[in-house]
Parts: sequence; structure tokens; C-alpha cells
Amino acid sequence: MKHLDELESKSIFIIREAYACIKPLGMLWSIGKDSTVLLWLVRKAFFGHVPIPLIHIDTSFKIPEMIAYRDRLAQEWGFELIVGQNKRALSEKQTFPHGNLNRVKCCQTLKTESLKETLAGDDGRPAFGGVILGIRADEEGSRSKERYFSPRNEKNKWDIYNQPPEFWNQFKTEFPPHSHVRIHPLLDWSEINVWEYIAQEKIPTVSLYYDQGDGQRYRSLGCHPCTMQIKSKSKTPEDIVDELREGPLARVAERAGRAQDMDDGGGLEALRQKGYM
Amino acid sequence: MSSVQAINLVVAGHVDHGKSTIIGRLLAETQSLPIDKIKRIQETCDQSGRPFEYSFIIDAFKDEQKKGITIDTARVFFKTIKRPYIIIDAPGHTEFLKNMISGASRAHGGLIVLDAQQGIKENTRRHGYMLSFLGIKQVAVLVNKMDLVEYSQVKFENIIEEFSSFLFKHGITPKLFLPLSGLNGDNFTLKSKNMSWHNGPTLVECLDSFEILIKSSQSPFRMPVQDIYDFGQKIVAGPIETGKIDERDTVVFYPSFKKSKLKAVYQGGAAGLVLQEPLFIERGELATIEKEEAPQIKSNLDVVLFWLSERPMKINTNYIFKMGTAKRNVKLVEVKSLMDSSELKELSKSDEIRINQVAKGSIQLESPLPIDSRGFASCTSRFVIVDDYNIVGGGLVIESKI
Repeated sequence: MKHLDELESKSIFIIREAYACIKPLGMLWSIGKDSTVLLWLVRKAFFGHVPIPLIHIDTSFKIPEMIAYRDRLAQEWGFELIVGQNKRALSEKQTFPHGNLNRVKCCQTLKTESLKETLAGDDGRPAFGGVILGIRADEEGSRSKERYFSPRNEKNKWDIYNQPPEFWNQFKTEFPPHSHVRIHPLLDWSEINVWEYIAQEKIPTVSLYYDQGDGQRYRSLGCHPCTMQIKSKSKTPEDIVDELREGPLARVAERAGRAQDMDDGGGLEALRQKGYM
Repeated sequence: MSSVQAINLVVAGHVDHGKSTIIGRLLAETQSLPIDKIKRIQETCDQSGRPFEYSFIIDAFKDEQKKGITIDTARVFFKTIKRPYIIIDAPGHTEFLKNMISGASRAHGGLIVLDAQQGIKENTRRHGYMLSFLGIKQVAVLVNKMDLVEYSQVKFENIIEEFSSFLFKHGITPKLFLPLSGLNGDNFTLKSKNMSWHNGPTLVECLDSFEILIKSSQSPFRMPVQDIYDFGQKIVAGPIETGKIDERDTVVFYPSFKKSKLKAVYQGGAAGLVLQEPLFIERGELATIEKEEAPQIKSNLDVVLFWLSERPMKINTNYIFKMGTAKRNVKLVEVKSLMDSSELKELSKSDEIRINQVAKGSIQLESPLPIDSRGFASCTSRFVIVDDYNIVGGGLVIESKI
């Protein structure tokens, strides 16, 4: 069996288990390459349909192309999109770009807080029992130790020192009330695998990942004040695969352009323990 | 595109025998790390006044670095000229056995690390046994810290003799024993000058010698039903765990014994069956092919099981049993024999199974399920036990003695 086929089957199995066992279920879509691959896998798993709502946490500092691409895909593929935003913090200017918070605090306020609120439901919508995310084990240390089904308590906390066992395709799918589970179908995918799959399946991705002629592109997408471009002439997913495999990026960490990681001591443990994705 | 499949290898063994150090060193020796990774770890160590350790590359949790131990399994991506790897670093403390099992269950092969000076310890044996329980047949033994025993060939050979006979008893024949020094990097990528008496492979060559055992498509078709989707047409969805199917086959579902010809088959990662008959099928059934070997339909099962919870498993108490996509209430009826997963000596008879114990016994499901006691498919032979929302044990269905 080809490696990508193996990864695809395993991820689809996990997505279908989540859909069968966890209700209500949503999926976090950051518009980046990983969660767009995840969205592609959801459409495969359900034979062209997206039977769960997608959640986008909009910090308002996303690069404009990302939002245009988001709205276009939502229309073309016809899925329900829930946009979460921490409006209070934004109106009070409690952010890093406004100079009132450091980067880690800003991530926590605009992403984690808003994610928690969205997952908790509102007048018209019950709380989510689970949410599917596109994180990968090779991104950073705390994600390298994640489970496919990773429980969060009623306060969204991740008990990293007491994770549930999972083996033989059996996961933690039983939960006490008010907790929820994060489902991670892409844990075994590497960054190269993601690009190989995008090339193989011809998955539409946002143009920011490709060199538009000025010799620069984004390797990882986030908010514009904390995400830096890299020097690269890659114009297609195939170029990126070559660049990652043998080229100058082969030994540079993917999230090297994400400033909040540095501020969390070289990883995301502190942020993620409190509920960050 | 990558046509070579990545292989998953678990690194197991007793606490402090150097598992994380070996992996960290391997990544450094093979230039697999991001350029600034070592520098950044060095800086963090300087700030906190700790000496640099290769294990910090893998032990990413802050508490792991502070305490100098591995708490949870990590996935480490690594490649050689031959192929890509996912190396699974398992913790060596007994209290984190559930984490070791979570990691090891995904592995195609295992590397058991042991300390040349300390020799075989509690979790060297326990992990050796658990690898065999999990069905991992390819195992290599890494004898680490050879620098502490003056690279002694005699020490190395004594360890081979003692540990081989233990592993052999549990059905494991190690493919090789390899003397290493994680501290100095002996035998990682180059043959060590300190151990010219050793003619075997280097660590990298050892990794490349593992194989992915291909699941036989000769086995009968088994597809645990995950769900039934109705997007215009009804599709019975699930993974094809073993065997093959095509549109000319007739499927039989168990335990319901419902039967249908097929209208269409979706193959590949997103597998599914479209039936000709309007059957009511539910999640938890098993799809099989009529003309192939049928599973046995049973509710009284003979099993071997290991227990992971502080709260012992007691007879005549309700638990949840999960196998494939099926779920049933279950009771432990009888404990026939009991042993500790490290000493592997028979313990005195008991009505309960305690943490880290392995038992042979019989269990009673509230209603029957399809079983293949030959064990070719995990959806009809391997199960977990759930208590109070958590997976607390796992086991294999074995042939019952009539």
C-alpha cells in the first residue's frame, strides 16, 4: 500500500468514528493547508458531503486573501460555516497588534477564548461534544505527544500528564457531561505528506503558499503581525514537495516563522494546555 | 510522489536505560533536526542551569525536562536513504504503561533498549512481553551505555544469553542484538572503533532491516460497520480490515445474519457498500462475504487480558466491551490464571485482576458477536474494556477448549 493511501484510510476511519460517536461534532478550519486537507478528507469520508459545521476562529488579523478564499470555498462546496470572534477584546483593543498584550496572551485571547466560547454554544446552538482539528505531530513538541481522541475537561483544559490509552483502533469515545474531545486525524502526517497529498488530489489552497513573483511565500499561515514569509521560489505544490525534501527548507522547522512559539519557550505547551488548538 | 511506506518503530525498555537519548542522538547524527534545534535546546538548558541532554529533543513537555523522564509517547519523524520512519518513544516507568501501549500498538516493529551495566530490569521484561501481546513480531535489542562497561564483549554476550531465553519463552526471536553508546554515538551511523569485536550492523542499518509485514489479502473479507450514510443512496461505511470484495459478492452481516447482494462497492480509503436489499443495518455489525469462511457467533469468550487501572477488574461486575465498532455490556466470569506482566510468574488464584496483571479467563457478553479466534483481523479478535468512561484493559479472544 502506498504511504499516502495508508494515511488517508487511517484519517478517514478516525473522522467516521468521530461522526458516529461524538455529538454534536464540528470541525475547526483555519483555512491553512492542513485543515483544508482535513476538509478534503471529510468530503471523501462522506462521499462528497460535509455533514458537520466548520468553525473558523477569526482574529480579524488574518491575511485578507485567507478570508476571500474561505468565503469562496464555503460557497463552492456548500458547507455550514460558523465564524467565532472575540469581539469584546477587539473593541477594547486587548491585542498584541494594538500593543496591549504580548504574543502568547494575544493568541490566548483572540484564539483560545474565542474557540472556547464558540465550542460552548449559544442561544440557538448546543455546546459541541467534539471538534476535529488538523494538527500534526511533527509541528512541535506538545503536538508530538497528542492522542487521536484527546479529551478536554469542562474548563477546556488538557491533562497532558494523564492522557487516555488508545490502541487497536479503539479510542476514548465516552465522556462525562460538559467535557469535550478534540479529534486529530492528521497526527501521523508530516508536512511533506500534506503537500504530496495536495499535489496528488489537486486540492485548492490559498495563493499565499506560493511565490507570486517576488521570491517570497508563506510556509505556515496565521495572523499577519506574527507570521513571516520565507524566501522561496516555489510556485506549485510539487515545487514545495521538492523544496522540503531536498532543498533549503529540508532542515528548517515549519513553524520557524510563527513568533508565538518562541515566546512559549520553543513550543506551544503552555498555550495548548489552556485550550489552544 | 512517495511510494515508499513509512515504517513505525517503537523504542521501549526500562526507565533511564536511554531510549530518548538514543533517539535524540540518532536524529543529531543523521542531520535530521532543524538547523537551530540543538542551539535552542542548549539555550533553554543554559537559562535553567541544566546540562544539555539529547533526550530533551524528544522529551518536549516542560515537566519531562524538569524531571528528566519521559511521561508520554512521542512521534518522531525521521528518514534514511531507504525510507521514512515514525519512531515512537515510549516511557519506561511502570506508571506510564498505558502510554507505552498506546504508542507501541501503532508499531510495525520494536526496539528494546537496555542498559549494559544494569542489565535486565522490570520494564525490560514487561515491555518485551507487551510487544508480544500487541502482536509485534519483529524486535531488535539495543544494548546501550556500552561505554560504562568498557565496551566489554563478555558483558554484551551475557545479556544476549539471558534476554534471548526470556523473549524466546514469549514467542519472540529478536532479529539482532546491537551494542551502542547513546552518549558517545558508537555504532549509530558508523561502526564503532571501540567495539571492533562486533561485526553486526549499525543502528541505521538495523532500522533499515525492519520490514512492513503486508496484511494478507488472502484472509477472509472483514469490514466492521462504522455507520450508514444516506446522501441520496444508502451506503454502509467502514474500513476494509482484511480481504477483498467486488460487486459480484453477496455479503452477510453478523451478528444479525442479514444477507444482500451488492449494487455498488466503494474501494479505497473511504470504503462503503451499497446493498440491493433494503436491509436495516446498524453500526457495530460485521460485513463478511457469504462464500468465505464465516466467523463464529459467540457470547462466552475465552480471553487473555491485561489490566491498566488502579481499580481492579472484578468478577460479576458490569463493564463495557468494545471490539471493532461493536459495543456490549460484559462481565468477567472466571479468572483461570493470573500473572504479573513483568515477572511473568503464576500468581495465586483470585477473583480480580489488578493493575499491570495479565489474566487468562472467561467473559460473558450480554449478546453475541462475530469472532475469529485465529486472530487475523483485530475487529474480530482484539478488544478493550471500558469502565467509568475510560479504556482500562485490553485483550485477545483465544480458542476455547471444549
